[in-house]
Amino acid sequence: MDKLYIAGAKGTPEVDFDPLQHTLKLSGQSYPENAFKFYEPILRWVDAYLDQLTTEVNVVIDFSFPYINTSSSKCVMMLLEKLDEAFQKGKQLSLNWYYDEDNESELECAEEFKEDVTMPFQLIPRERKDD
Amino acid sequence: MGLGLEKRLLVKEGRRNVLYDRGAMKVIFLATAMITLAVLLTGAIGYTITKTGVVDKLKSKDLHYIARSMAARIDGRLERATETSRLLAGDPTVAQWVAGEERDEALGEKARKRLIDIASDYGYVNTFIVSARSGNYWGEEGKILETMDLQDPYDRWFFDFLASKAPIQVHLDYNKARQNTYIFVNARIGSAEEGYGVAGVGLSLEDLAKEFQQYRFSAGSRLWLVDEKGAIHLSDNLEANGKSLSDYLPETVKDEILRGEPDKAGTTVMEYLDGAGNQMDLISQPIRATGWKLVFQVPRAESLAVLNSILVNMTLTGLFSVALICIVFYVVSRRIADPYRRALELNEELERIVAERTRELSEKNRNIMDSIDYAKRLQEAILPEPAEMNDLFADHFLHWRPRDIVGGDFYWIRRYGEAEYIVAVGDCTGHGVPGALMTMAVNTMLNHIADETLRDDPAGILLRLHQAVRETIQKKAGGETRLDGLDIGLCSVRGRRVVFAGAGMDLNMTGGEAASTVTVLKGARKSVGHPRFGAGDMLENQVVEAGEGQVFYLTTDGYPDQNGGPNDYPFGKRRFESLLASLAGVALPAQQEIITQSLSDYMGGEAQRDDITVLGFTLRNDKVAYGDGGEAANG
Repeated sequence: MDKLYIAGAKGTPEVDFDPLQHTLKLSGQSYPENAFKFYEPILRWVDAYLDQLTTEVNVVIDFSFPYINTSSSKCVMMLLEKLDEAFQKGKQLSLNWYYDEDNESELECAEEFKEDVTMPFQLIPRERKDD
Repeated sequence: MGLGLEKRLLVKEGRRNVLYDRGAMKVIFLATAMITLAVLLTGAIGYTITKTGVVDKLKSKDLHYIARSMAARIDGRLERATETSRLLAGDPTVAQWVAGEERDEALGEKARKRLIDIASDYGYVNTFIVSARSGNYWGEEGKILETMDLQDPYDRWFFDFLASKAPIQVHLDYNKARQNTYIFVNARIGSAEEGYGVAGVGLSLEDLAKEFQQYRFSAGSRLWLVDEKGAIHLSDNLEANGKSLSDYLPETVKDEILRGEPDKAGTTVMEYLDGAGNQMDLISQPIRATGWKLVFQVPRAESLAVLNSILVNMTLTGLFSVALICIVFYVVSRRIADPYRRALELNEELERIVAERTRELSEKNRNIMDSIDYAKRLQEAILPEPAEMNDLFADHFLHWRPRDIVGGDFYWIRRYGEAEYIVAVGDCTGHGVPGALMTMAVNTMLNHIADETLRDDPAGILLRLHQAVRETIQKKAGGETRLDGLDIGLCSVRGRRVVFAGAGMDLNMTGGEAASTVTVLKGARKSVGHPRFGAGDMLENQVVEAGEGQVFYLTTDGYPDQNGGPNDYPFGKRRFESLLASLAGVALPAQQEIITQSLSDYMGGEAQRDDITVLGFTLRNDKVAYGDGGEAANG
């Protein structure tokens, strides 16, 4: 299947889902006017990807959201539910959630998501550019 | 398209073409003027240089050449005539015959034959031998034409010449016998001491005059053969014969030309303006065989006639060049201007389209904004009135600031009695119109739920609300669960007792027992509408007995999530809490001012990210009366 790439823009994160490398990356602020419209094709792609995913493959998911609005977080929640469902069916997925240590709400938000999933979920402080 | 619009467009069209044409014509006109100027300048300079050159050449070469060649011709003729005369006079036969008083018939035969032969062989109009002894004048036919008479003025030349002792003499004379004027070349027969007579030849003036006429340089040119006194002996114009140079030239000019400073060849060149103001070029050339001079005059204008043709040609060429260049330039500029014009037209067209689209858009936008404004009135209609709120609380402030005109944040109250009511602040998924729509739905649901006997069970109310949201808003769409929901904090108040339950929202409190610290009652993490809402979550009723001066705050996430500051981070819950702590003891209206100001300072130029609601309130029957204002440190 095809790679899914959407360049980042103001209010939408960069999407880089590579079915050959088995890496799914979402990074950037997410506050689109219509979150569901933005995440709909991503959800569809993930459905198709998970359908053909075998249990031997190791999938790495990298998420990084400096800011995520409520409706985006609902969509990310839906996305995580799909991935978690696949994990519970024995597929190998692990999630790395990068956050800014100085930004309390980012970690809070990440922890809330962590509570809702059963797959391996790493909280990793983001390397800051100015260091 | 309306008639008015069409008219406007036509007017525009006209204006544009005028603009284009004016611009293009300006360029073409300018270029043409420049080209014309350049050609004129080149032509004028060229003409001037040519003229100067021609005039120079005329004065230094042509006139000289004409005068010299004329003089040389005349000189040649006269020299030949002189030579012939000399030979004739020096012929021993002739000398002996004349010396012997023409008696020797044999000599006479020979001498007469010479006369005849010379005339016929060398083309002299006349030949003569005049004897000093007998006075006989033998002519070219070998006959005696007359006998010299000292008394006859017409014969004076003969006696004068003999007396002059000169070996040779050229002079012009009217010959009575021949009834004509000739140039005679007289040669002395014998020596200076003893002259036996005169022999010579005569040239017809007409012959020379014909020659002169061949030298007719131009219509106004004049050629005179003059003697030392300026008497004209020969001219290209027969009328002038016998007149003086004074009749034709100003006296000073005449003197100058006759006695001026000649160059090595004896040539004098000068110019003068005649009475009519015409520039005249004058040249004189001495005739070597005589003391005469050949004077040649030509009007400058005529000698420069060649310049006229040059001028005409140059003008024609210039005009032709200008015309050609202009045509080429016009064509080229049209070629260049055409795309430009097309670009302009296209631009106009685009501008028109853009204007139209903009108008359409702004109309649509206005309609949308009007519609949203109307929606705002509706949304505000469901929100509690300020009067109601004032009546409900001892004191309160409400900072309600939707990101757009309407929003997903709302506050809601239900009053059951004097000091018995429920107050809630909520934040529906999304903001703007979709958020506002949801607030309308949630408002209705809350109103329904509040009718049930759940007034002092906020957690129960939230569970009921969750069910209602699942049933109404989260209808399955294509098997996809929609997760739209809301964060809500709900306080059920009876007297001084507050029961709080929250979903995605906490209750902040200051004052009371913990004077200037913030007490936080945490609500459940999951929002209403979340699939696992209430399952193992901390959804519970929390009871608070309000202390003196206790302030309760219900806040949506818009405030703490707002980005800004040096790193563009969210304001943050901690910062918000310490801000509230710093406000302990400050009157609520002043608190609102500080809370508002703190956030706008923090935002700087950043846009509002989400709807913002902060409700702060105190309960009635409070013994603490707030003063006005108070010190507040900004966090």
